[in-house]
Amino acid sequence: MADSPKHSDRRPNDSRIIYEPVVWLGMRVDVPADWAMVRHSTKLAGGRLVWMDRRHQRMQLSWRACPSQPDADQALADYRGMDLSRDEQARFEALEGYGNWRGLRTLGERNLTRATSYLAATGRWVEMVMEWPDGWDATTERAVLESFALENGDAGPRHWRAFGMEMTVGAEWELLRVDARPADVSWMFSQHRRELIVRKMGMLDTWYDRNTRRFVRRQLPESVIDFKPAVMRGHEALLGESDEPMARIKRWMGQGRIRQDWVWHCESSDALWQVTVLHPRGGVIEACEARVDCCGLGKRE
Amino acid sequence: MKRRQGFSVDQFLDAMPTANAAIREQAVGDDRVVLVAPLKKRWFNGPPVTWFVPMKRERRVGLDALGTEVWRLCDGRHTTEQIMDLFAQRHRIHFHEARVCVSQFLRMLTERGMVAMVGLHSRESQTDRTP
Repeated sequence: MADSPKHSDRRPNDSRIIYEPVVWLGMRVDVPADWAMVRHSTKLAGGRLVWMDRRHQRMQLSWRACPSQPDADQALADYRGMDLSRDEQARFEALEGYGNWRGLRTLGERNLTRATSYLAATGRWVEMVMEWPDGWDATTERAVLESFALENGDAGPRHWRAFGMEMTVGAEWELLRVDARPADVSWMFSQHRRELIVRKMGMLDTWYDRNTRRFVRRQLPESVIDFKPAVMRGHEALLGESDEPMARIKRWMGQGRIRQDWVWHCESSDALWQVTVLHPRGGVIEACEARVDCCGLGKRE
Repeated sequence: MKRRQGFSVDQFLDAMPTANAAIREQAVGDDRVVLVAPLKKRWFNGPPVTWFVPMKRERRVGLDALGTEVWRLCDGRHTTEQIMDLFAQRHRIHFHEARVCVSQFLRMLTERGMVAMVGLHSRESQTDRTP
């Protein structure tokens, strides 16, 4: 919560459910591993994350920038009115014993847990809505709410974890977008004229011929690529340096950028990982800008 | 514009994709098949038109290894959810990733009439049946 210490390695007590931490825009929350994130926003000022299980939407975490603490009682009264308008027979229970969270449970045709909290440290108003299509689950409710914590200080590297990927990038990189396609997830960060792309590709048995050099060449068929050996997270990697493909006139106008690709195969996650950095000429990059934890996320549902 | 049919997620996951019995399979190597579907007879794809203009009597759809794997599970005994589970386990991906791949592929097959989703009724048709 707002005043709680940074998240340590504490885990929910229920051993039957496996929880997967999600770290997004400095917020960390543990969610059951069989819930998948289906919507995401990248703006710090406001947005939401939505998870669903196989059949139903299960949770929404939304946030918005708020310079001062909003009236939580009014928000709860609004929730109550909204739920009563849908189901006149709905019963309500106050949510108690969850630190700074304030909220209520709606029990009736739809079982919901609504919780709100003001994060004074970051000036954000956070709302969490959990749905219980198979009946209210106190253990999961507690595990999720208690796991919520703030990560990352004002300065220093930023930690991200979602979509089966975990990485740490410098605070100067802003997340532009995440493309989550089946077995192919890309995170795109930017910083002025620099770009950083972290990509994880799975289902290797169907398309990958174990030749990283050929993989990079296929992406840049027209470019002259200078290959060098590298090491990423203890794996043998390939570093390819080339000019960013673009129209010659743009290059003459000084808009050309250097492209560096680190590519490696991680056996434990059985995936091909690629980190691409695009940066203007002159800005020499000695090492990869993203610290990618490829090995810890190999386990699947 | 096509109207979207109102299937619930539950109905879709519980439906059993079943191959059209009229489809013939031609093996291409060990892990690929070509599906051959006879075309419906119409006035223009029979004699005398075909004496002058050659017409196809069947439609062929080649499947890659992944498509063949899913096609072989469309046997009327596996539910869509079970097919997605098997696909996810085999390729070490998340169920939700498998869901995207398998449902897109099944949609393609059902649009071409090669697979029927047994047990899947649109909400409209369910409403129609209500006395």
